[in-house]
Amino acid sequence: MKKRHPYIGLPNRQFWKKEPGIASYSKFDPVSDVPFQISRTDKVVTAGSCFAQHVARYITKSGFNHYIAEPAHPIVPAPIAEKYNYGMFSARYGNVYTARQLKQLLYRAYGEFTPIEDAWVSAKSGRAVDPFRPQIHPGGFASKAELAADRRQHLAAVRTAIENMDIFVFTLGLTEAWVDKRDGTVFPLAPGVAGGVFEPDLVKFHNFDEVETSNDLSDSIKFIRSKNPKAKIIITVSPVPLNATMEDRHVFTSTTWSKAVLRIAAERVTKTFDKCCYFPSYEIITSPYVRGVYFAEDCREVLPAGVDHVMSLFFHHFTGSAVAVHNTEKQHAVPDENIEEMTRRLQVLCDEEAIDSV
Amino acid sequence: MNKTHLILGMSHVTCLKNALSKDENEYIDALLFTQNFYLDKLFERYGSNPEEKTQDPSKIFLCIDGNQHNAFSLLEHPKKYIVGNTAEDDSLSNSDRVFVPADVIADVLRQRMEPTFQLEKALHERFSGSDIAHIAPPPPLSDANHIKNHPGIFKDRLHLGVAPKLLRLSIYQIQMQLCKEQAAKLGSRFIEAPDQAIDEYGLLKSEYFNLDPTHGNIAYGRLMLDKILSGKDN
Repeated sequence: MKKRHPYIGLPNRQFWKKEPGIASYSKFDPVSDVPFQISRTDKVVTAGSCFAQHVARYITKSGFNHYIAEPAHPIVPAPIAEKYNYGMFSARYGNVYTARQLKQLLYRAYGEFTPIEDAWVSAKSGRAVDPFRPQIHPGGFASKAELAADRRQHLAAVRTAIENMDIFVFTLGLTEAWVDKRDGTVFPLAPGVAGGVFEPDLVKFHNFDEVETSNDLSDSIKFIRSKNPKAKIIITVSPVPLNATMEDRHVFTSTTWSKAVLRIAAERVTKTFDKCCYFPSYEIITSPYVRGVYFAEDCREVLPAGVDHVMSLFFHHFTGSAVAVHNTEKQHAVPDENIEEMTRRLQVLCDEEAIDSV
Repeated sequence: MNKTHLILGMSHVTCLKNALSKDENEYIDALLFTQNFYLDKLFERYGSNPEEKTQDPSKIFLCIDGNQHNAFSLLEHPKKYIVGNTAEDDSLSNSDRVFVPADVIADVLRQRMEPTFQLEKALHERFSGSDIAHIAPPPPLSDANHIKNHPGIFKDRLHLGVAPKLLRLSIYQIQMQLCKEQAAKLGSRFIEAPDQAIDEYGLLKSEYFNLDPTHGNIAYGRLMLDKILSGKDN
């Protein structure tokens, strides 16, 4: 029988007025069918902008396998490991804001790209900041050699993560970036913000458009699949607005442009690659259905209730069940057994030595 | 009490105490904190508040919790590691061990030494009228064979292997830096190990080994006593 018009019989989700979120924002669910499921044993690797930290934390605390390829050594207790950003993401890369940064991280890990800029060393203190993860080590590394050693270990962990993961969750965050004029290296933060010196002759501002971002994301996925053909990929877009823009316009106008670019890039790659899907974190937080309730007073930070909403839908759709999040620490909540045993024995030794003096 | 000097600490005080001459014993009180002698007993001896300080020694030398570094680096950890430092050292990048930045280890040691720092602060408050200096424990031993030959209570853990010199020295130096900072915070001097006792790398020379893996002997105690009593300890 011929339809009166083509919208007849379409699923409820395709009609604005049929969205349960109108009546109750907490029921808003914009997630379409997902092409694969995540099991508790699947190794999930996370990366992306600051919102990706929420995703990573929830996966860690939900009993799923947030795959940490670069853990702190067992002698390091959890609070100190966290201070130095071990376990925040699967490797200690810090925030990866742009698709170009992701691509360059992957290429660097496999020795296919070596930036000219190597380290930002303070002339005053000698401490060295990693230009590609400037906030990963508070205060900077003790020396350039220490940074080199840590980076070597870090990039090996990136390779381990890429080659062993089952699921890659990447959160696109920004399009605006600072680029080294000499070789196109992208810095996550402008030199001078968290290390380094701003040299206008060496770096330039660049705002990646939808073509560049799509291509970078596509190149990244191709690269990942060349190392790990079975990796399934989830792309999200951060709902967090820009903190600042270099474009000569209002920061919110820049935000909408950037988010539109990122959303287009995400859509393009999900249509290009199998087992690669989009998860609408951005929409859950910013949609009119939720009436702005998930933003903090600064109108930028996402409140915990918003993250809860995003992640409950994530787990509902990708795992088929509601998932409880526990405040369990994955990193060394218990003291290192070896250190405790050594300490106990040293105490005995010292007591014996003390007795000798009495 | 009529003694004018107090050396107070834990097991590393033993070699100093044993090195005291008869004359020095007349004016130096060398006390070790043990399970049976702690602040309460010290306060019984000297009084529990500064108002009673007419009896206080004029000079105090603190040597507390000096073996913390050995818990981390006397023997290898089952998951071998290497620690960063300020030197431009290529060996860091060429190691197959887990790399741990120096700041991370410093924070780990700082956390573990917090009770010691609190104890030192309490002693400074109690003995506010005394000239207080902090003494470094002896550095790690320069000869790993001595540790293997005199393992004592570590005998059944020797299979882990003695940690490399560089690791033992790095962690000791990190601990010493924390101790210096703590001494400075409390307005005190920090007295390092005597130059004569250490080799070109900063490790303890063999003639100053005690018959165990971590302590200095009487000769070392004598050197340290000479250093602290000479007043030329800066």
